[in-house]
Amino acid sequence: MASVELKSVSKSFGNVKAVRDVSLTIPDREFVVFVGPSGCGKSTLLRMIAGLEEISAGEISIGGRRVNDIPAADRGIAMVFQSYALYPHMTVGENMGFGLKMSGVPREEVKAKVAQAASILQIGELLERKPRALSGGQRQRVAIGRAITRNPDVFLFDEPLSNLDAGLRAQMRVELARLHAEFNATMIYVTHDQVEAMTLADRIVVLNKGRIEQQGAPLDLYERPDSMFVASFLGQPKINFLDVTMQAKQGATVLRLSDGHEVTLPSGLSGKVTPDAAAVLGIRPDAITVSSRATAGAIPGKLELVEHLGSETLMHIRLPEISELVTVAAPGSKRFKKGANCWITFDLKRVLLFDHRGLRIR
Amino acid sequence: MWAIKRYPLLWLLPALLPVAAFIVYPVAYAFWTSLHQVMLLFPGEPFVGFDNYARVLTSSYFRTAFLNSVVFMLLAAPLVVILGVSAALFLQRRFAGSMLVRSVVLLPWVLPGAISAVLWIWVFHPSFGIINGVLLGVGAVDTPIQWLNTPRLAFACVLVAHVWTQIPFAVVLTMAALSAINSETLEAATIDCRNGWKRFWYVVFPEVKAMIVVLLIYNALIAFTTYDLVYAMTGGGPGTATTLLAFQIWRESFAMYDFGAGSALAFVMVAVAALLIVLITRALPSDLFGERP
Repeated sequence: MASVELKSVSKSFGNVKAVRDVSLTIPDREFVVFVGPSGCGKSTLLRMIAGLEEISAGEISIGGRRVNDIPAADRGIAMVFQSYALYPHMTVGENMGFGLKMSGVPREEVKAKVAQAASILQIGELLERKPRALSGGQRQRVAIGRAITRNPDVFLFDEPLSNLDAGLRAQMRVELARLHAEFNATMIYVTHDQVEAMTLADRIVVLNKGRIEQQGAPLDLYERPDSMFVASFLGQPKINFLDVTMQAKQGATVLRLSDGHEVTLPSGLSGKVTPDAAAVLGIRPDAITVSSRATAGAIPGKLELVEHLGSETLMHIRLPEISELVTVAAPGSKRFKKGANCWITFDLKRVLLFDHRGLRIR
Repeated sequence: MWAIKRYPLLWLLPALLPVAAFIVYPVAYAFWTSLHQVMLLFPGEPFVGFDNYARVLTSSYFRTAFLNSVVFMLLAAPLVVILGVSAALFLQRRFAGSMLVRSVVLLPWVLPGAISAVLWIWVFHPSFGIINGVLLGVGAVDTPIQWLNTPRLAFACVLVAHVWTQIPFAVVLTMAALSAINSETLEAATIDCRNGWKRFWYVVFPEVKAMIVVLLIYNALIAFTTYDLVYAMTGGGPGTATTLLAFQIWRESFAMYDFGAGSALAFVMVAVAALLIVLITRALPSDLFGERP
């Protein structure tokens, strides 16, 4: 078990800077998820930690030991790949024991370790099979088993679930969480799937264009994003953004939507408001209430599309003179009709404000 | 009914006719020739049964040519495969100018055999050749080596030229097999094993093994039946030092005008080659290609 430390790490491919000056400390036993859109540098960062990619600048240490010049096999890591990356001509058992065999561990010991890992993952009956005879989910279990057998200080996962179908993905997600609890190992996990990030992580590191955009506990990032990028990346369905102009009125902040309706924030912010400044209001779909009757301060709209998902109902509401539809998430028990008139109110405590650069106004 | 059943055959004719004209007919004609006395110096083509075969098989020329061909094959096939696979492994890496080197390596492939032969004649030329030039230049020898006029050396020279012309194909096929390996699998191996040679042996080699076997068989047959380099470089000499079986067929037919004997020899060679293929494929492990899980 070990901590991982990145100091001003950068990576360039020719003129392209994939990772820019990333510094990060991952304490022992933490489950960290690197998340971001494709091309944000998350996989490159992981591969640099693994030793599969040279480090252009900066320093990476694992367990307090500088590993920049240490080959991948000696870094005390194990990696699970998106394509499973099993050795096709070896049986499941041979696949899992290969790393130990190569480092000279006696055959009997390898066998015992493989059997142990196999029983944890319930793949004991597959040990004699070849990878091609396995389903995708089984293959990924074997790949995880191969990592466990190596008994690494740090587990690295590179989008391990993205080749699986939705049902299996949910199942494996639970399994991975269980493994982390069981092994108490440091785990670094790369994904572009915000659900995986939210559910698995002790800490999420959001990457954008090779830089760390924000890091923190999942719900902290969800509730208190530093930027529109983070706000829009985390959360499903996506957060709503509405263009507003700000006004200070008697200590309160008034936000005027482009259709003329006003939202008055009860507290704070007033000191930072420049009159008539343009801003973006961000509001999560679950922080909006829909009513079929007009109430004081409610904004009128029309239900353009209703998605009944069972557990919840998603409504896409057209506000007059606003181009984007507003998405609202309501409990599944509520029944709404497409095309009906409605009135929405915001949970004012959960309104987020962003300036023209996309940064949060606090 | 007849019309409906036979109708599809009509559509196969355009494909079957050229096959008949260019393969079936020549082979049948050659076989007919091998059973008759066909000599340009003696008019008439009387049927002689298997006399030609008996004559060819018992001649000392056949013994020499057959042995030469076997030795040639046993040396050439492994050499081509070892060098070709090594070159492919090297060319897989990306380095400055790797694309240029890749194209250069493929050059011998596009040269016709006769041109390769001329090229190598010049390389081995006693007075003007680059090899003697270098050897004399650095003082390694003080008289020019008669490369193509010394029996053992001439055999080696033809072998070198042959291997040189066959390497590109081995490189291309091996590179194709290598590039079919999942890159993440190779990376997993990098994490599992620090020793590059072990990685090759345990992870890469099993993936290209089938291709290597195919290359070995193919090159064994090519080496066993090769003809053009011998013809152009040495004419089978000095003496019979470089007389390979295929060249002997040419000599019987077109130097001695004994087409019956030449054709008989050709069928002997086909029989040996066929036997070879059967033996090799029998010897292969049954799970080599697309093994069952």
